[in-house]
Amino acid sequence: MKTFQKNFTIQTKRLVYFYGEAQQKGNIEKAEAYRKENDPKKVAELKKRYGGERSEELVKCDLSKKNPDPYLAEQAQKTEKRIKDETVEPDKLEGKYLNAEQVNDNMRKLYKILGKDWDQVKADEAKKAEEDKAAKEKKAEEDKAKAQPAAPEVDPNAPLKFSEIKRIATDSIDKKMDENTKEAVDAVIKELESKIVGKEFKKIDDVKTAIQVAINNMDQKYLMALAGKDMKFSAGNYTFDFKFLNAPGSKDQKYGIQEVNATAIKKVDVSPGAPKEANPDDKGKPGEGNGKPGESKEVTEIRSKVETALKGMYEQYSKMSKEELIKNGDDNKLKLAQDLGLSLKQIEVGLSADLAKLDQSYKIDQLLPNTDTTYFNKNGINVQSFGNFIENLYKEKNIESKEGKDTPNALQYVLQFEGKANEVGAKYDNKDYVAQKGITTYEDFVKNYEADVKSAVATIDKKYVDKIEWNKLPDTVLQNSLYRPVHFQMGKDKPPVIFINEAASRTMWDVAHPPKLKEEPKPKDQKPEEPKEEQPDPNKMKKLPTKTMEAAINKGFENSFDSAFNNDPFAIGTAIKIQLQKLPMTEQYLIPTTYMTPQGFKLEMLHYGPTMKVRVEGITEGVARKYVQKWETQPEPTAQANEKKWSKVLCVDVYGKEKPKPEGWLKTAKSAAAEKEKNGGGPPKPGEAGAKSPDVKPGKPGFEASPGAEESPTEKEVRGKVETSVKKVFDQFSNMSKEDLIKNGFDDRFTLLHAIALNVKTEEKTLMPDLAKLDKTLSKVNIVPGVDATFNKGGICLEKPAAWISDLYKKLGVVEKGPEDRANAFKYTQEFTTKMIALNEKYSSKDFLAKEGIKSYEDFAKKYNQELTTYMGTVDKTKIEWANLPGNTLVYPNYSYASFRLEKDKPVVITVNEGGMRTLWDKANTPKTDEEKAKEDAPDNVDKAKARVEEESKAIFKKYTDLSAKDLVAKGFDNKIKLSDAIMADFKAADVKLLPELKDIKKSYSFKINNDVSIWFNQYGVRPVGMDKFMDGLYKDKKVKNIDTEKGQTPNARKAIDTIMSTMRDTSKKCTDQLGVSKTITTFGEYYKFMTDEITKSVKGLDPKTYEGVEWDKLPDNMIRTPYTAYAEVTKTKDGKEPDLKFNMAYLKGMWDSYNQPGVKKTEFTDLDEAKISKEKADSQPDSPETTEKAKGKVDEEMKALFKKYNDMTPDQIIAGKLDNRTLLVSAIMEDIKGVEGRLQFDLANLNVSHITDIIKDVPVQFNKYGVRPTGLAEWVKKFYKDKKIEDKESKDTPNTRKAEDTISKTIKTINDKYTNSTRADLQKQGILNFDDYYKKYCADLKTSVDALGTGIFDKVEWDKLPGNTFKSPYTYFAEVSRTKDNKDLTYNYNKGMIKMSWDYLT
Amino acid sequence: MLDYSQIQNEHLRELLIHSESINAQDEINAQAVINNIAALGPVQQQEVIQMLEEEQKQIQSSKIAKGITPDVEVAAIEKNRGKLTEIKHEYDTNVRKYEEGKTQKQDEAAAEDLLNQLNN
Repeated sequence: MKTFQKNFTIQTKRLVYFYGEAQQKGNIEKAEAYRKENDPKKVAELKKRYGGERSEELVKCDLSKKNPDPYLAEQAQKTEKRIKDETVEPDKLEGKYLNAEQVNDNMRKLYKILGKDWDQVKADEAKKAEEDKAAKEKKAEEDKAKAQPAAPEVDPNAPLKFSEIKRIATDSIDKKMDENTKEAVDAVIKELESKIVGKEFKKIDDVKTAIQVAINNMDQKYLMALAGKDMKFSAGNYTFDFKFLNAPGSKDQKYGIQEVNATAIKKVDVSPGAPKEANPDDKGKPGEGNGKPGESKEVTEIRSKVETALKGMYEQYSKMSKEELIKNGDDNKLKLAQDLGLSLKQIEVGLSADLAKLDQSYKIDQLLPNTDTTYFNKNGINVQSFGNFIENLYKEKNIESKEGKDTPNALQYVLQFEGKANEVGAKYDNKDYVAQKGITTYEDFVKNYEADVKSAVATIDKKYVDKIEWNKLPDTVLQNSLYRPVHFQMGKDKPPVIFINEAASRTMWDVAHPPKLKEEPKPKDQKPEEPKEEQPDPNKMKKLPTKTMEAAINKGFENSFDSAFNNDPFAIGTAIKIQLQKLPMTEQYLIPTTYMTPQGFKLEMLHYGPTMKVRVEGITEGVARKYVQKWETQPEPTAQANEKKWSKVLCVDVYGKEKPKPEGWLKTAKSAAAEKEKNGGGPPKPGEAGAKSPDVKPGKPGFEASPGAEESPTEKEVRGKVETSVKKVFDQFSNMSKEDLIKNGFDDRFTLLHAIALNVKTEEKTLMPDLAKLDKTLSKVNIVPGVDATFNKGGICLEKPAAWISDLYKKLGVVEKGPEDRANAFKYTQEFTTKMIALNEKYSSKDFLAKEGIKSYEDFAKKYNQELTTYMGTVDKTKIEWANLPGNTLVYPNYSYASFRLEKDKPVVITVNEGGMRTLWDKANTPKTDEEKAKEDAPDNVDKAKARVEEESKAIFKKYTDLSAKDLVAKGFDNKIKLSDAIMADFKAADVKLLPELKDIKKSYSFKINNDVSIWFNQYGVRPVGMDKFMDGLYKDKKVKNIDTEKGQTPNARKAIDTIMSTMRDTSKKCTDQLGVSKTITTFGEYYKFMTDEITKSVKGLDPKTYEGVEWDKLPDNMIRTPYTAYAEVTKTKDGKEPDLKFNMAYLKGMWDSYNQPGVKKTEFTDLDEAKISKEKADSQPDSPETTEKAKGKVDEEMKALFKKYNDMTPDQIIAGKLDNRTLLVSAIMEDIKGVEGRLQFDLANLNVSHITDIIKDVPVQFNKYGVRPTGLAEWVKKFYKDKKIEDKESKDTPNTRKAEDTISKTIKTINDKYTNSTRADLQKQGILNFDDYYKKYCADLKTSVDALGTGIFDKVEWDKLPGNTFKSPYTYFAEVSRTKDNKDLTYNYNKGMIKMSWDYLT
Repeated sequence: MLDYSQIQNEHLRELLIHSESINAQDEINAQAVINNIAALGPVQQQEVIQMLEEEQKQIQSSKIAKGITPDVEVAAIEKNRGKLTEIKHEYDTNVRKYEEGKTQKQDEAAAEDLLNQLNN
């Protein structure tokens, strides 16, 4: 009995336990179903639930701790501790996902709504913080002054005993001191006091260990409250600091601290405030000029500027948080050094005017602890190394450097390069070596140094290059930091381009060559001597027989004037040289000669012979060098005989100042002026011999649209440099052979663009000190044929290099490699350029700046970047062919206004090009000239005209869309030729009506009137573009066949029309290609003549066979008539007469306005519409079988698993999970479907159209890019319950819920029917052109209709029986509509997948 | 701890609780912002909602960019939830066993008494 009873009791308990287990299992399954759910919104709910459960458990434990049963109380306490230690608070699960800029932007918006100015608030805060800091520092100074002098030297091994500890404020704690933090800080200090005060330690390391142990044993809640914060305190002669771990990110997920730093407090200054005596040794080495004593006031000022700027730079990085550094990629030493190098270069640019005043190098020993020695001189600032600074920064921020992890071989190459460069540097650092080489000037020094570096670098083993991880390098370019003595940049398959950092080389030179003793100043009137090496000794030269020379030179001039470039000093020089070369040449001859070219260049020939020297004034160094190169590398045929002797025939010197020149026998400036005077010609014109230099006025700030007559000397100089540099870049490519272009991959337009951009950026870097001098934007049209450029202090911006590339390909016969394997990447790029062009228009308008309240350039550039980034964020990137892109990255080069970098699954990164941005900024800030104003249309006029044109055009199209199929056939409009004739006749009639209203419109405009047709209008009339598509659509909608071809009524006429049209198109394309390079066509009149002549020629020249077999008698008026939609209406009669062309001026004007450089004007709405249409077209393409199969496979797999889960359930499990209610079961399945959609989002993203799979019997599953949808679930549920022998409790438990659901579903169905019964034309009438429009309208309609049902339908809903007490209509239909009992507002979760299916059905 | 109780609109309250921008501010400022929002009229509150919804989109896109898909998030929550369940289960088991032991002793004692009575 006893045993029985005992067993019975245990058995019962087991039963109860197992029952509980079963229940728990049901819950686990439910949780499992929930876990698979993927909807981000639900993640928050799940987290909330988890938080609730966690706090519930903690509350339970808290209550149980008070349980009188000691065992239970102990269990509760232990459990509470475990929950706190081993699980994370829900809030801590959440990371930080917004960067500081986004947070600021959001706060700015929020404050705006609250009627406050966020920036002002921040500024006030910063000001207050600054004041507080200053007050704190002041106090610290005072405390320091009061401090006891001379603390004893600290011995790290001396026994230690502390009488007290003192906390030092830290930003991370004191800035955000809430109650919890305060409590934790107090607890830590108290704990430390108890553990170290009064105790004796053998050495400082023991103290550190004691601190670590004490803290790590503290209550977790304190450690958590301080997670991520820094703490600092002082005790005795030490300060101790440590950082509290942020558990979720730390190695073993623990809170606490990992290490303690102890720093000995240095001796305090015994005589605070006492004047510092100059240290007699502190004079600095000769040449270094670090000696502050004795340094001139000017140098001290410059030193101070350099120091302040450098400190700012270092502080900027020191102040950055670890996260910010990581975000910038600065957790990579190489990248950080590169960034610091860039900052340094910016500082150099900023201080270039000051630095230029220096005549030697000056030294800054150690600006800040952990920074290296720095020199500054006229060439810049030379920081010896950023190594210490970076090391220390990483240590402080606890950062592990990533350099070389992804790119170990690239790093190897950099090290090899720098090793070689340093070897050469070491030699050149040696004064004797330099002297030994016979180098006496700095210029020679740099030249030799550079040459030696180049030779040394060329010896780097090829294996280092071969392994470089190009694809992982930004822009596939390898470079070292700009601050290094030798900087290099290298692209794949290209040799490194080497730049000598002249700040460093100048330092080397100056240190080895200290300035000589000051010379006595020369009397003011004494002319400066020519540098010796530039002045050949006249005594050793002979004068050339004048007459022979005169004849040769005159001949040269004559020839040069005959040439096409008669204003070019180079052409003049060449011509002269050719003549001189014809003379016998054995010695050097002195030929003091000057000449003023018509452009104002002064050409001075000093001597000629084997080292002929010509001095040119007014020409930039870059241009001059180019001439030298040309002369050096391309000896003229006439010089063949003397090739050796003439290998270095010319040296060009450039100077800007007026210098006395010997009078020559040719026209000099003076003599030319005198001659002119004599002839009664008045003062010379600009550019004429003897004219005053026009460059006297400094340029006004703003945008200089073209090189003006009033350019300052500086502007002129910079212009010259930019022109030379940019031309150099383009020449580099245009001088390439076809084979070389192809070999380098430049037959791919984008590769070439990248290369151009890279080279221009390199040139830009070199030119920055010059560009920095500009206070406005200068521009140059046709800097090379077809390419325009603007330049300003921000850099260089190129426009339209595309035309130049086309021309290059054409010239060399290169077949352009199209982006066949990157078509979608190309589309993305096109979206970018289209938007960029639209933004440029907007951002160069003063009105826009005023409207947006943009006051600074920085805000301007930021806003531009933001707007472009936001837009590009919406562009579909799912189809980009990542695998076909280098480094799986799509990059748009930074040569114009902005560039982008796009990686899969990462947001697009847009970088604006400062050269381009400043161009827009300057444009917007430059008042428009009257001429410009006169060329612009008032927006009101355009709107008015557009409205009228739209009205007339719509009426015309309506006339035809309203016709029934029968009417169309009856009127003969089932022949496209006849239909287009009729429509065009209507447009011609509309022209008559509209022309008086359009006469004042100055530019051309276009807008989309329906899915297929754009309407162009200008002062010459109105033209539809895209008629063919319209007619095709019309035939399709009305189910009418086009009999001109399909029924063979006029197939030959159609063929002839098509031939004429394509001839006109081809001719137009050819002509347009020439526009970019032609300088002669500058007005519409010229363009019109050019185009009409060419088109007439080509159409009239068509082979007579074109018209063979034309069905003349079936054509209106028995003649061929091409549609008047494009270039011309061409008519041709049966007789042998030539075709007649009536040109379409409105269309040609539109073409001119679009293609022509000035006056491109397209309304933005058109661009957007066009982008949308083309996007929609691409989106409607059928999917490839591979794509479809791949997606189907995934869907099948998921759906099988999903239904298996339900099919495998036992009736008990179904009941336990409350799935014995149809509403709840469908709801649970649909929740699972959402999970499936989440998991498949990337697999489905590439689908264009909807597909279906029948993997589940009786439940066809539709899927498309937006999701997965089973149909026929109701039947399946019925069968499911039947198979499992389960009674559906829906009618018992939730009948009213079901009713509400049905009402909503019915309403939604009505809406859907309304849409699916529409035709395309109906939708077009409603302005629905594509799926986006459809979706928007559909959702709005659906919401309005369901909202209109009122809240009454929910009155009897069985809230307490519904999961989460929430009503949800099934997500099987076009929207899930939900609400809770208390919140009467309905929430809509639109089912984009289903709506897309209905759109696909329609289209 | 920030007090959101004055925000009547539940959706807005949720958005505020999850706003990183507001939570990035120090507590005093953040609370002031919340109080100010509570005092706004419905139209302006709607503007705030729109702004905060945009912020949530930014957060979502940033998460996706960092590879934190809802799956990953769910996994992180589940991991903690799993741990919580384990602790809870252990606690419940200990308590159950302890109470079972106690009950068993009582049962045994009662059974012993009953048997004694029956035997007597």
